This record gives sequence, C-alpha cells and structure tokens, in this order.
Amino acid sequence: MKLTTDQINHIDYVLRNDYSFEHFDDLRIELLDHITSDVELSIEKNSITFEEALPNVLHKWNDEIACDRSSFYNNVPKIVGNLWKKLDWKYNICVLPLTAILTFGSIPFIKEVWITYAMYSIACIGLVLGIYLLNLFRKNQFNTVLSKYAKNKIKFYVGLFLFAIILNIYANYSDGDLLSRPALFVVIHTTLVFAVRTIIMRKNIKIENQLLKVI
Amino acid sequence: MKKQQQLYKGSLNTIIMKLLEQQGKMYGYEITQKVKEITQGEMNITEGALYPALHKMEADGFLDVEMDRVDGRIRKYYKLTESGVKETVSRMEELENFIRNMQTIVNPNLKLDF
Repeated sequence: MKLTTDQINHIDYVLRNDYSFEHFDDLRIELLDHITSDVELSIEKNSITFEEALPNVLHKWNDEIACDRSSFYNNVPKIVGNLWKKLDWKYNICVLPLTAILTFGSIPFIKEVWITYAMYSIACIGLVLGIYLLNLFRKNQFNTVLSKYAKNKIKFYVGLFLFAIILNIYANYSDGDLLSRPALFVVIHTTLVFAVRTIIMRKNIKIENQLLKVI
Repeated sequence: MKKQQQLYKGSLNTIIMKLLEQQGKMYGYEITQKVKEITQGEMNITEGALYPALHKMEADGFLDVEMDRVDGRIRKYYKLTESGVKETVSRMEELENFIRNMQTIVNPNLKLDF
C-alpha cells in the first residue's frame, strides 16, 4: 500500500522536529524514502495501520537517528555526529601535521624577512578562500550534512584569521620592521582549514545540484 | 545468527558493490531487501551500517548517485562509477580467495570452483 502525501509529510515532520533532521536536507530525504518504504511494507505484510506501523519502524531506527547525548556532537542525530567525528579525524590528520611542519620549518629562517612575505602571501590565499567560502554559504540553497559541518566553525575561523592578520600588521608597524610574526601559526592553520573546507563545499555543490534537479 | 552477522560485517562493502554491479542502480531500502531475499533472511543489513557504508563509498568515488521523484518522495539511487567497477572486481577476487582459504582450513577435501 502506497502512503498518501499527508502521511509522507507526517514522517518528514517527525524527522525534522522529533529527530533534529531540520538542517540535513540530503540525509532526511534519503531516510524519508527508506522509512516510507519500510512503513508501506509493514502495513502490507502485517495488515496494520499507518499509525501502528510508523512507531515500529522508527523504533528500529532510533539508535541511529536520535541525538547521542554522550557524544561531542550531542545536538545532532547520531548518524550525523558519527560522520562529523570521522571528518574531524581526517581534518586533524591532514591539517595539523602540515601546519606544524610549515611553522617549525620556518624557525631556521626566523631572521629572514622573506618568511614574513611568505606568510602574507599565504594570508592572501586564505583571504580569497575565506571570501569564496562565505559567498558559497550565502548562495547555499540546501542544508546538507557537509555544508552544515563546513559552516559550523568557519565564522570562528574567519574571525580568528582576521584577528591574527591585524595583530601581525600592528606588530610589524610598531617594530618598524617585518621580523615579528605572531600570527604565523594561525595564518597557516586557518588557510589550510579553509582549503580543506573548500574541497568539502565543492562536494556539497554536487549534492545540491542533484537535489535541484528533483525539487 | 549474531555471530554470523559479525562474519558478514567485514564484507558489507563488497556485497553492496556486487549487488550494484548486477542490478545497475539501487536505492538504500532496496539493497537491504535484496540481501534479505538472496540470503533468505539469514543476513540483515542494519540501517546504521548501510548508509555510512554507502556514503563512504560515494566519498571514495566508487559510487555515483542519481535522484528521482517516486511515489511522492525523492529517491536516491546508487550506481558504480568506473573505478567502482574495477574495485568490485578486485574485492570479489579477494573475497573468493578468502572463501577458498577458509574452505581449505574447514574442509580440506572439498574443492571449490569459482
């Protein structure tokens, strides 16, 4: 038995409001189809009503779609939190060592002015990526698991990045030379973060385009 | 039954890829039902395992997705990419070798032909 539009909308409402899927359009659409198919089969096989079948199906899903209060990401569904934790690992594994290598690699050249020029060049790349990301978020038509993840901390990183640049310019100005680089670590780190998040947002655009075709 | 599920767990991605190779494109629920049907209910892919596996393979470039509107809702179909097809062949070879080796240990007199 096929569910009616109202019944499908009800499942969508439950996912949005009872299970915190409001901001994850891509995953919610996929789960909505799965749960709807499961409810349809359950009604057919067990000769029960929609009102009886839905709680049974949701119960099967509960562990995955409820918020995991013990997790770092405790206000999102567990299935989302688990993916975000994996992405965190990927980020840390590629960004932190690279930041450390570039920062410590510059120590032997601490008295060289070109390091400061290099830092400001990296800052320019960071600035372009930061503006590009903020522009992408502005144009964002759907909230997806990836876009929400990328958006989550980007404003903080943009703020930190600007603070570090201003601090460095002030230090250079007050010293009267280009040898002070208090922002070096932050500039390298945030630029790398922007670069990785840009990759994530490119993937997100692919998901958005697919959603646009059918919505 | 539960112990058997543990044995299947390590081969989940290979099973999904093999199904997609045979069927062309499938959606999540269809995959769970197909596996249940083929194994006559012996193997049950849990929702918590299926979607992370599909999303990981999509991120790795082995799967491509296609969306369609079906019965008043949007359906996401998965299909193998070119590299996904190659990966399926190599994973199936690995799985067949594994089964052959296990068979040799469990029952040395029985010969399996793949």
